[in-house]
Amino acid sequence: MILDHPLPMAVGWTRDYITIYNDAYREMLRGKPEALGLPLLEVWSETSETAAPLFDDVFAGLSHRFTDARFMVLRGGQAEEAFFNYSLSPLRDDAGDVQGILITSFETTAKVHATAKQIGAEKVLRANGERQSLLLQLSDALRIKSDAQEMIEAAARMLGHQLGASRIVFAEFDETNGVANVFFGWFADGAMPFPAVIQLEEYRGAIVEELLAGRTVRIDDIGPPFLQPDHEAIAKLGVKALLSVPVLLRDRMVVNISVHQHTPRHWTDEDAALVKEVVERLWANLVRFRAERALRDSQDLHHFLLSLSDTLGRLVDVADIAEIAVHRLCDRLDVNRVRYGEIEGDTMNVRHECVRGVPPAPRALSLAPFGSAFLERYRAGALIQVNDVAAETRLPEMGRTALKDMQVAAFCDVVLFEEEKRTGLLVVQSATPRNWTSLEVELIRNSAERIRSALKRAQAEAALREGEERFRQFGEASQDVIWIRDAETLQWQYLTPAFEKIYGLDWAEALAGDNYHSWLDLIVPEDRQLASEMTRRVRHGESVAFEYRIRRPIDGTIRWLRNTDFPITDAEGNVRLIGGISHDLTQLRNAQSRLEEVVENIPQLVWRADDPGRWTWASPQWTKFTGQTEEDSRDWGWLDPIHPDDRAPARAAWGRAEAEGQFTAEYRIREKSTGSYRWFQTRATPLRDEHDVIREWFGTSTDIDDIRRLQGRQQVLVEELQHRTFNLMGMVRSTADRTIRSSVNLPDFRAKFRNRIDALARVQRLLSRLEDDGRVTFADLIHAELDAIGFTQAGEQRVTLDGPDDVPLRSSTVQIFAMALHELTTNAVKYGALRQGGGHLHVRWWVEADEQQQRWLHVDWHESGVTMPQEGAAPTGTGQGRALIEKALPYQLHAKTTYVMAADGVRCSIALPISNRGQAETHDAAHQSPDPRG
Amino acid sequence: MPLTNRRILVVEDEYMLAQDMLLELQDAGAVVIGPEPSVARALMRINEETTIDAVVLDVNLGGEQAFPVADALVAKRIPFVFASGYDDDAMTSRYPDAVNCAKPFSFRTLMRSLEAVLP
Repeated sequence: MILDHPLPMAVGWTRDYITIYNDAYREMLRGKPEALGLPLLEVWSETSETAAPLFDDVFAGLSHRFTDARFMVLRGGQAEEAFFNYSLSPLRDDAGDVQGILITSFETTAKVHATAKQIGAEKVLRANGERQSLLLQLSDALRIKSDAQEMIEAAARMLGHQLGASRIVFAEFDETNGVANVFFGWFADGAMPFPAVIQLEEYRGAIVEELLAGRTVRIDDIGPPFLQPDHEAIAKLGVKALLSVPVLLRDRMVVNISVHQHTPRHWTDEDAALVKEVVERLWANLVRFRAERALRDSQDLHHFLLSLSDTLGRLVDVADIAEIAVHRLCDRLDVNRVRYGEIEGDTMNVRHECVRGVPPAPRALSLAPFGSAFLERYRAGALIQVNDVAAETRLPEMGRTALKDMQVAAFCDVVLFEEEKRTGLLVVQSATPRNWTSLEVELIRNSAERIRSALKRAQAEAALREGEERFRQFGEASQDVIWIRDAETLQWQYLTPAFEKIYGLDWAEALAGDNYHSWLDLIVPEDRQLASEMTRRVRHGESVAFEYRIRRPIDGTIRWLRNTDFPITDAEGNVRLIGGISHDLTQLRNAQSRLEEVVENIPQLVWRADDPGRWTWASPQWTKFTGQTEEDSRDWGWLDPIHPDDRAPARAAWGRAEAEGQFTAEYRIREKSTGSYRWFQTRATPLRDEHDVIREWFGTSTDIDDIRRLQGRQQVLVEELQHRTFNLMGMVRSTADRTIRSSVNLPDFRAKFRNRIDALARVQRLLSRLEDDGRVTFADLIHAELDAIGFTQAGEQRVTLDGPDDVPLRSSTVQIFAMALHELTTNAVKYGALRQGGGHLHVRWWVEADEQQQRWLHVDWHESGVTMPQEGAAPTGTGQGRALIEKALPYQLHAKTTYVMAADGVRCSIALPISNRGQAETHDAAHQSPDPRG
Repeated sequence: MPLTNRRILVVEDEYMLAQDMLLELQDAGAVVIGPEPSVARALMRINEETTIDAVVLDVNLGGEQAFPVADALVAKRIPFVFASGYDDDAMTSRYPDAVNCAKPFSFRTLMRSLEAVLP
């Protein structure tokens, strides 16, 4: 029945739908392999999805009927649109159970196409009109949009409505980076599109190839079955039909619009043309818009940077600079966090930050979790830019987690460098992924550079201010006046307060008017020329130091100042300023002059020497005493006034001085005023430096001439005493011997010896009573002798003493002279004038000079009224006395003597030379030769 | 006796001392020249005498130092003995070979000293 039926008929027998068909149906299977005996769903595999549920219905007893149903059929390996009228009805067995499906089918493709053509022509006309209207609306819409995303969305929406599409997707291609920025332009179901970046590699295939080649891709039904793997990938996105139109720029695809349909759809040429128009228009507008925006952004960037520089440039406080900069940047970039800090080791210490809409993050942050690759970039000082932290595979997991914890989804960091040294880090963070535009990156980079330079400037200024402040404090604290004058006008530009104290003049007053000439007027007239000459020299580039006096107007007192003035030059070496320090020397000067007074008035000769013995200076006393100029005394010149005999010892003493650490010598120095030498004791002490090396010698020469003379005198006296004592002993012994010889027995000896010893004792007493220049006079001697025997008492008539009281005798002559007088007296008492009642002793003495001007003492011993014994009678004891007169005095005293036994008594004359000047010989001796032995 | 006929010059200003010395020397057999009391007299005597075997020389002669006499004696190679009231080294340093009989001396000491210096 089926086989003979003229209409195409097929049977799907049993639940396996074994295919049985007639010849008419064979036409339906056009392009398919022989299908007889094969399961029906296998033969029509491309429609199996639609067919299977229908088949189930038939087995349930239902029938279906369709008119002009559209199928995509595979014919000759090509998918082709075909339309069919068909019915499905059950084939029952005798029991009425359904055993198979009867399919009657009639292809109406040609009829449908014919009808469609007719309708299509109308539609094209209408579509053309709609398209023109749409493009006009699109142009208007794009013109008013101020945002690329909005432009894309507007275009996509219009296009989507026009085409009745499920989805319009706009993408920009970046072939270099192998990515496409996909803007999901519009969803028919109203879902919010979101941008995504896809890797082209993942969609590599025929579709992309076509697009890259600039060809429109039209897929009416993407399958299944899938002709390409990329079809399957797209199908997974729910796409059944795809129309994708690329725009090429210089043979490269830059953008495309894809129209997705969730059901198969036949894309017409008009559809393709419309999409092409829209995408081209959209692209042109985007390009124009972006160019405008780039220009605007660039202007904004420059404006921002200028304003930033301007603001930062005015800031004085270093801390303000980064603080203000991070806030400006945060506002400008509309990011969530901008931080500025310093990198120490691998830690960032945040100093300033601006936080918007995110919680605070730690201010000390270890960079270690960002991995070695990132750390290396931080160290190298590169700009580090991450658009999407989550997708940044170069960041280790730990780093991504750390950033996520801080709500950082994108960031752009710049390391600040100063002379190849990291100084800071500027961090810009966004809480959402962000495609940092080149302009933004530029902005961040430039801002960082401006922060760096502003910081550097502010730090330098701070250092300068600090330096100036220090200088000011120095100046104000200084006891010296520190000042700066303009080299041209000579007016003070700077003057420290010490001026008031020293000059006794108000500071402001000092600066008023022509202050250079006012200053000169304060200087005493004698020093004024020096001061102006010195100023002139500094103006010519010289540094000078000089001392001068000022008279203080306030009290008229004089102050000594010492100026140290120096030129301050510009880069060309011209003297622009004059700097100076004025030090008040007054106290020093006073102390110095007091010291000088001491040095110049002490009764010593003061001097100094550098090398041992080489004088460098002598005090005025030296010049005054020796008559030698200070200049002539220098070096060894001082030896000139030294006694020739003492020069060698003086030099020798200097030879020992260094080893002994002192100089001591006694030598004679000639006194200019008297021409005679006086003894000086000279001592010098060395002045040593910190290494104990002798630098200088300070010496004094003290006049010890009087002391030495006294010492010499003392020596003479001591020796005189010694001499006298030894002589006395000899005299005693000799006297004893003689007395023994002239004595008749011991009582006689005793009486005579006592007398003589008493006489010697009297002489010693006379001598010892003498004062310095005292002399024993002849009157002393004769009185002492006659006193001893009681003959000078008042009323004594037997003795007449007649002569001057002041005839001095040399000490050395006194003893023997006294002994001689003693013997004369003893004889007179025993045998002569003083023994007998009628006797008389007349002692007369006087002084006479001879032709040689030698003075002589003449003594005339005249006894009278004495009854003389007969010649040859018993001895009268004159032996000893006479021997002394006649032998000892001439021998010892160069005396001239006579001794006569006259008829009425002894007559004796003695003439002995005495000192011409009446001066003590001991004194003379001491003066002429202080050393009694020398 | 070593001093016998020896010609001894005595230079001593103290008359009594000189006399004592004279007597002692004569007792010892010596021929005494002088005594002389002063430098001038002593020098004169030294020049006049052809033979002087030794000299006793007082250091202090009436306030005058006897060194010129000693110098003359050294020059003439005449030995001498100092009879000095001084104890000092000026003399010994100037005349290291001279013998000093410090006063007051015993005549025995003086004789011994003279004997020692005699050639």
